[in-house]
Formats: sequence, structure tokens, C-alpha cells
Amino acid sequence: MITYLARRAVMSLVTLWVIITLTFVLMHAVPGDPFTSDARVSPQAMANLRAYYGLDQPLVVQYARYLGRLVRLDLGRSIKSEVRDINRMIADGLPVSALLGLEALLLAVTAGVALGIVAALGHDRGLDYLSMGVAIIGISVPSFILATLLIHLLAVKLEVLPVGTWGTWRHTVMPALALALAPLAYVARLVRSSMLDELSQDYVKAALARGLPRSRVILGHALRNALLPVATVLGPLTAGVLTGSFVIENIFAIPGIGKLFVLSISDRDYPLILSGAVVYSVLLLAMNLLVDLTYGILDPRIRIAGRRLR
Amino acid sequence: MVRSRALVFGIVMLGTLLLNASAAPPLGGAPAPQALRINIQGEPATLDPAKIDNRLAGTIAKQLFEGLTRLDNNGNAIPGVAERWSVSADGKTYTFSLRRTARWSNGDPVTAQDFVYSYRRALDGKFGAPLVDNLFFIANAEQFNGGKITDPAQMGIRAVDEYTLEIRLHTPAPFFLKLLAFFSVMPVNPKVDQQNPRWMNEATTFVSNGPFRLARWEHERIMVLERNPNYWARDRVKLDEIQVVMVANLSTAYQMLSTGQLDITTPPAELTGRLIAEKKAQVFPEARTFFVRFNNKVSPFTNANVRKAFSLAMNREGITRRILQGGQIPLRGFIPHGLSSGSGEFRKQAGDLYKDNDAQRARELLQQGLRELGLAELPALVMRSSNREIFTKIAQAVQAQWKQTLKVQVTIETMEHRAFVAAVRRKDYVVAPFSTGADYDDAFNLLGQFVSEDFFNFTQYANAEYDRLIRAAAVETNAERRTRLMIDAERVLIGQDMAIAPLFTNTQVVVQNPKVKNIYRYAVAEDDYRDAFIEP
Repeated sequence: MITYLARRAVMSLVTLWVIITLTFVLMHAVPGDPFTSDARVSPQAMANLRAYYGLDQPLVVQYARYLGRLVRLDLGRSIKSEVRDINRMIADGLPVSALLGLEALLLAVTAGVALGIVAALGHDRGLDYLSMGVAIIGISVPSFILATLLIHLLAVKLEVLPVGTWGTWRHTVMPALALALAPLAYVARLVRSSMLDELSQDYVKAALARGLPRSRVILGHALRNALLPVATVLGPLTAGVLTGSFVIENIFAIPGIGKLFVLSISDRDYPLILSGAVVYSVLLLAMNLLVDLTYGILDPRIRIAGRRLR
Repeated sequence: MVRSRALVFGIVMLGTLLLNASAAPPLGGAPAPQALRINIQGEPATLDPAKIDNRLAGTIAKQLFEGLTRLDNNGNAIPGVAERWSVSADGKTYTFSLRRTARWSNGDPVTAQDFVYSYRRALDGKFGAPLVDNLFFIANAEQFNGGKITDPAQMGIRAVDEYTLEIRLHTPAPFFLKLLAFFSVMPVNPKVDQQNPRWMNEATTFVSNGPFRLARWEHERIMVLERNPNYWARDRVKLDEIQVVMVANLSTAYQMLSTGQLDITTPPAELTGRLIAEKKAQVFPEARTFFVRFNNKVSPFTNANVRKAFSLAMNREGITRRILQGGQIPLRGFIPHGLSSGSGEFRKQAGDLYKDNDAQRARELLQQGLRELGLAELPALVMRSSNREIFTKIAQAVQAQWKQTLKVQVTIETMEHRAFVAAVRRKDYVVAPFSTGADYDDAFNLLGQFVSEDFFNFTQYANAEYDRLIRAAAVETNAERRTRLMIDAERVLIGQDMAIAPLFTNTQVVVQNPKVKNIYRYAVAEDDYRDAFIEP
């Protein structure tokens, strides 16, 4: 187990290094720099600015400096914000995005699994069509449309929730709903198909034939196996949802990191672009590792590190 | 199952608790009687006046700080920290008497030394102030900024005594007093700045000398500015506080305004036309010209008649009224409406230089131009455009108008904004919609960029007569003669050569709670809330 984890950690570090290097090369290959603007900033002021942010140095030096800071866990300073360094920006924004993401994720997984089970059990009947109808709407309606509808209905017409900004749980309701719908639909469809698969397996028939209660067979045996594909998608989904959504954060004026990272690209805020890549990759790698470990729990037949987990 | 449900419930409750624990009082509750709620669309990159490079953050700095001068409701310079001043006969030396009642928000007096410190700080090349050029009128300032002079005392900024400041310019600048009201030349407190170079990043350490002080700053969320009890004219400040939210999405901001969560916002583009028609939105001219850039070194735009043909074939009324619908004012000259010449409003003095949508004349000029170039017909052209909405709309409109009137095939190449600007700066374009805005209230500010050797002459225009007129205007001290020189220069640039094709003067569109009164808005400078109040 420990050697497995160590091997994974080393592999993750190598992956991270490749991602950082690629991001570094790509972002410098894009034309324009943080100070390219249609404002008439004089060449002298521009040179001063470039020197101030160390952009006058050769790329190799900038790259080495960034890596040097990164090993000391310092993400550096953003060019677009003099106010806070990037560590602080992430410390401020990540909890906001993560909280919202977790809310949405809980909603998506619980409601999605429930919907999937209902659909599978009522296979090819009304409930199935209804649940899958909801799922198709969820997948095809973009979150910004749903967000706009929610604002119009709940904030402008009924005036029960605030339009936007951040502060209390009431501010989280609409963004979490808007954020949850697509993954909810995805999870529902996934659970339905894998559940249908499991229900037709011999072990289910055998268990039912032996007189085990139907609810216990479905929830205790079939569902457990049917959740395996859900666990697979949960890794990237969690990483994605925790790092925030630009669209939702923009519409609801939420101070999360999704907005920060997306805008960093059009701003050519080099340190912030790299930090976005680092944060997202670290989360993604961690989540994938977690998912791989969960496989062993969900299905004891799956072995990692050549040995059973339990 | 029961256990896991309890677990889920527990997590939700915990999340809710955590959120509430870290939550500040919600926005949108009943505001204090004199609390103005505005939107600046995003966290400012900095509130250090010398480091700000945009209007939104500049608006905040303007309420927090005060320069030597301020602007009255008509845009004229009035006393700020300086109580009075005198100007030498050659127009180059300004002597300011500072008011003894001016105080920093921490109680320190505002002195002439503070201004010397602040200007030297902004002019230090290593400091990296983006709009530092505004101080380059001061003798030796540009040289110091570029490192050619190392002793700051050689610059024309001197504290004669604690309350007397002398500024020497290398050239007369009739707009200099107005320029001193600009946010980028506002002072900082030297003691505070030396003790903690990051004082401007948090409300707790923030010290300013203007009508308001920074009471609260929750990053990416809200800033609260409250009346500065140490401000010398605190009695005329009627607002208790200004709440500044950072909502980038203008549809959301507009919904916040309609549900009473906000007092002022810019409406989203799709609603602008309707709101203006219904008189729910106000329109203020902004001293920014939108225009089509021709690369004067690339055929067929090397030819003045071809450039004129393209310009006259554009229908500016159609673009502003039917396509953009933001109250923009069609231009028949280069200098935008509302910008001063030093002796009046430039546009009124200079008049119209061509007719809008003059199809017949455009076709004649095109034929003439093509003959001069030895071409049978126009080659297919590529117009580069930024992906920002206003530019893509302009590009599509002029493409259609040119096709209709001149039968010319123009392909649009849309580029990400910064990549587009980078291409124009490399002069790697043939024709492209662009915009240029004034930093201070004087037409001279915009005319310099067409002088042959100017860094910003991305149009590659070169005319010795134009250069001569601009150089003469730069040193002319008589306001009438100086205006005449600039009017003549614009005639050469547009009337004679049509170096670029002007489109319209841009506007600032605002939806505002009708109870909010007395906000001063300017074509060039940032809004001023010092005298604003909310009717009960």
C-alpha cells in the first residue's frame, strides 16, 4: 500500500511538472502580454512595468524562478492584482468555490442516484421516461440559462432570494442549483444504465429467489456495484466543481476562483494562469487517487498494488 | 442508509454553519439613509492612486483622495488641497498654497512635502506607474523616470515651505491644473508609505486625504467608503457611506438595481437602447473616439482618396442609432465631443470636416483613388477586429456598408482582444476598428499619436505639415492661437488626408436610482460623489 502510494505520488509530481511546463510554453506562445492595451501607455512606462514584474528576463529565467517559488509553495504575485498575492487569492476564493461546489455535488449525487434508481426500477414505464426527461433537460440546458431563469423567477418576480453576490446561505441556493443540474443529470443516466445492468445479473436473480427482501437486494447489492462508474466520474467531477465555474460565478457575482482563473487568461496574468493550472491539476490528481482507492472499497475484487485492500 | 443520510445532513448543516460564521451582513438589506450603492464590476487591481490604470478603480480613488485641484460640475479646475495658486508669465511655473486644514484620514496634516514625495515616488522608473506620462510635463520628469537623471531634486517639483509647493514645467500646458485633479497624480502619506509599503491593500491600514476613507474591503466582494471625519470640507459631504460591489455581469447588476440592491449601474448592452428610449437610462459623452484605422503604408490605403472613399461610405448614424443604440454621437471630425481645446469645446470650434454616408462622393473618390494607384479594381481586403462586442458589431456594420456602396469584398478576421491589439501595435493589419480616449481634458492629448515619429502612430501616418502644426501647438501659450493650430492640424489629418475614418464619440450609459442627486460626471474625468446625496 505504502509503496503504491509513493509510486503514485512520484508519478503525480512528474505529471504536474509536465503540465506546468506545457502551460508555461503555451501561455507565452499566445500573442500579447499583460500590458498590451489600447490605452496609450508610453514605451518607457511599459518597460518599467515589465521590469517591475520580471518580464524583462529571459523566459528560461522566468521559468526557473517560478519553479523555485513553487517548491517553496509560493504561487507568486498576480500581475493584475497588486493587492493580494496568489496564495491569498486562492485562500480567499477556494473555500467559496469549494463550498458552492460541495453543495452542488451533494445535490447532484443524491438526487442523481435517486433519479437513476427510480428510472431503472420503473424501466420503460412512466417514471423512467419522466426521470430521463429531467436528465435530458439537465444535460441540454446550459447552466447560464438555468441561472438566468432562476434569478428572474426567485429573485426578481418572487423576491425570495437575493439576485447575486455572496454572504449568507440564501446567496448559495440559486448558484448551487444551477451548478448541480448538469452533473445531476449525468449521474442519473449513469446510475440508470449501470443499475439496469446489475439488475439483470444472475446474483440479483439468485438473491431474490432465495427470498431476500427486494429493497435489500437493490440497495445493498445491486446499487453498490452500480455505483462503481459513478465513483469513476466523481473524481474529475469533484475537481471541476471545487475549482468553481466561471459562468456561475460571473452571473451571481460570487468571489470564487473559477472567475479568477478564466479571466487570468484574457488578462495574460502569467503567474495566475500557472497557479490555476497547478491548483486544478493537484486537485484532479488527488481526486483520481482517491477514486482509485475507493474502487477497492466498493468492489473488493479490484486490487490495487497487487494486493487486496481489505 | 439511515446512517449515511444522517451523514449527508450533517455535512450540509456544517457547511451552512461555516458559511454563516464567515458571512458578513448581507447586502441588499435596508441601507443607512445616506448610503450610496455602486458597482465597479470587479476587484480593483490596486487602490494606490499612482498605480491605477483604469476608470473604475480611478473612480474609487477619486472619492478617497484629493489632489491639488478638483473639478467643478462643469469640469473647471477649482481648489482642492491647494487653496490658491499663481502661474508665471511664461506659463511654466505654478506656485500652490496648500490649505492648512487639509488632513490625512489618520490626522496627519497634508503638506507640500507629501506631494513632493508622492510625485517622486510615482516618477521612479522602478515603481512602474502605468500612467506616469501625465507627470512628464514637469521639467526633467521624463528623464528621471527613464533613468537619465538619478537625482530627483533636479525635477521641477519643490516644497518651498510646508504649505507652498512649486511645480516647474518644461513646456506650457494650459490643461495642467485640470490634470492635477486626475487620480494618478493624487498624493499618498509618506510616513505611512515608508512604514508599510503595502498599506493600500487593506482597509485597516489605508490612509487617504479625500472626502471619504476606506472603512471595509472584503476582497472580490465589497468595499465600504465612509465620510472622512478629517477631510477639510467634511461638512459638505452628505453621504454617510458608499458601498461598492464588484459585479462583473451587467445583467446581474441591472437586476440588482431593479430589486433595490444597487443605486447605480451601467445597463447590459442588450437593454441599453430600450432604456434610453424609455428615458430610464442617462447618457453622458465620454471623450473617446471610435474609428476605423487604415494602415497608411499598405495599399490601397496609401492613397488619400481611397481612405476618403471608405470613410464617406460609412453610415455613422446607422451604426450608432440602429446597431449600437448606446446614445453614441456620430463624428464628423477626429476629436470627440466634450473635449476642450483650452479656449472652448474643440468639436464646436472645429466644425464638421466631411459628410456622413455620402455614397455618391465615396464612389467618385474610390474611382479617382484607384486610377491614382493604377488599379482596375479594389483587391479583396481583410479587416482585423477585436472580439469585444462593440468592435465586432462595428466591423460587421462597416463591412456591409462598404460592400453596398463601394462593392468591395472585405473579410473580417476576429481576434482575441489582446492578440488584436498586439497585432495593431506591430502594424500588422490593413484596416481595423479601434478606439482612443483622452486622459485629460484637452484635444492636444489625442492629436500627438499621429505625429510621424510618435510611438502610438500605428496608422503610420506621415505629413510634415501636420507635424509642424502639432509642434507649434505644443509650445504656444496663447489659448486662441493654440486652438487655431490644433483645428488646422485636424483639418490636415482628416479633412485633407483622412488618415483614419472617425466613427463616433463614445458614451457612458447609466441607470440610476432617481433619488440619487448631485453626482458630477465628466467626459474625461471620473465621477465625483463629494456633493452627492440621496433624497429621502
